[in-house]
Amino acid sequence: MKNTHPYNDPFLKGMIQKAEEPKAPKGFTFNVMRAIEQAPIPARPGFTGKQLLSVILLGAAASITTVFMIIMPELLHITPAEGSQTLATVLPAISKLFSSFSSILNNFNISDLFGISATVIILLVAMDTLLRSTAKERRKHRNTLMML
Amino acid sequence: MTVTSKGERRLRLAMTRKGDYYYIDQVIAGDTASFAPLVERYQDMVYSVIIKIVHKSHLAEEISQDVFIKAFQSLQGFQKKAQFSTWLYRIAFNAAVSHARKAKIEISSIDDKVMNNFPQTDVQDNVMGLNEKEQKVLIEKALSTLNELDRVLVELFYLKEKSIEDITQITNLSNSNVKVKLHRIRKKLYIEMEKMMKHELAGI
Repeated sequence: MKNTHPYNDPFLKGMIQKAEEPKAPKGFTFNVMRAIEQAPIPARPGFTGKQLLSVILLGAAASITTVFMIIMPELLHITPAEGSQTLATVLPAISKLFSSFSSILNNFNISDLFGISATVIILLVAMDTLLRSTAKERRKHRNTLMML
Repeated sequence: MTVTSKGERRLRLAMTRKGDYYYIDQVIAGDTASFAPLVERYQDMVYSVIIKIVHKSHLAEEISQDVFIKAFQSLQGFQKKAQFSTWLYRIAFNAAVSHARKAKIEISSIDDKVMNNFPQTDVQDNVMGLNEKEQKVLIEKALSTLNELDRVLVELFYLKEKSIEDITQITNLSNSNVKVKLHRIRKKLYIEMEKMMKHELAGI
């Protein structure tokens, strides 16, 4: 018999196909399907590192935008100015906010850079904790539903 | 879902008409019962690979069951670039190897000693003179002398007719490594069959 490759052998193939092959036990399919119905579908993995970072950065950006666009004008009683007057109203307010923040830090003998860094870190950690707990709750809820 | 014998018969009938991807799509769409035809179709294949590595039937059954559960749970991640059977084989092979590692079962293959002269033509001539039953006993005995990995390779290549590329995907061996191993297995089987025919033919 001619071989196409040194690793292939039609004669052996014919012989091997005569050998008895082990078979799965009876009722195997039934057992697998029963196990599948009983096993809760595992929760999908949470955020990956990159996704989490993106979410945190987006969250930080959204928070900063919200603070500057909505909360700050409200607190400083800035009425929404029209057209070119908007910037003229908002910018001094922002600068005022930063200078108040800076003066608070100075009172505590803390440098501006350190103060800003610490505030940002605290905000990010808080946001991360919040996101994680929300994701955990959601996963728990889904698993409970699957069990039911 | 309750899988009755009537239901199983219906599933078997359906299996002859539908391909793997049909059932995969159904399962992904939320129809759990559509996984049953896939289990039915591939249970022997999965069990056969696993038992060749772990040797014990109760363990092979348990691991095979885990393999199907894992496949079910990961079905959404299955990319239709590969055949479903290749993907499933890979899960089964990895599960068996991982169990063997934990149980410290050594998964070996034929060692590197070169078997240059192997009695291919003589053996083929002698085997042709045996009846069907004798040939079956002879090849089963020769196959039983192979190591775990080699038995899996024989199954994949000769029985399931998987390509070298598919086997590399399943076992994580390189293309050339698979070819070299298959070549050595072939030589070893001839040598074993010759030995048996010399010493044990009278007993068959």
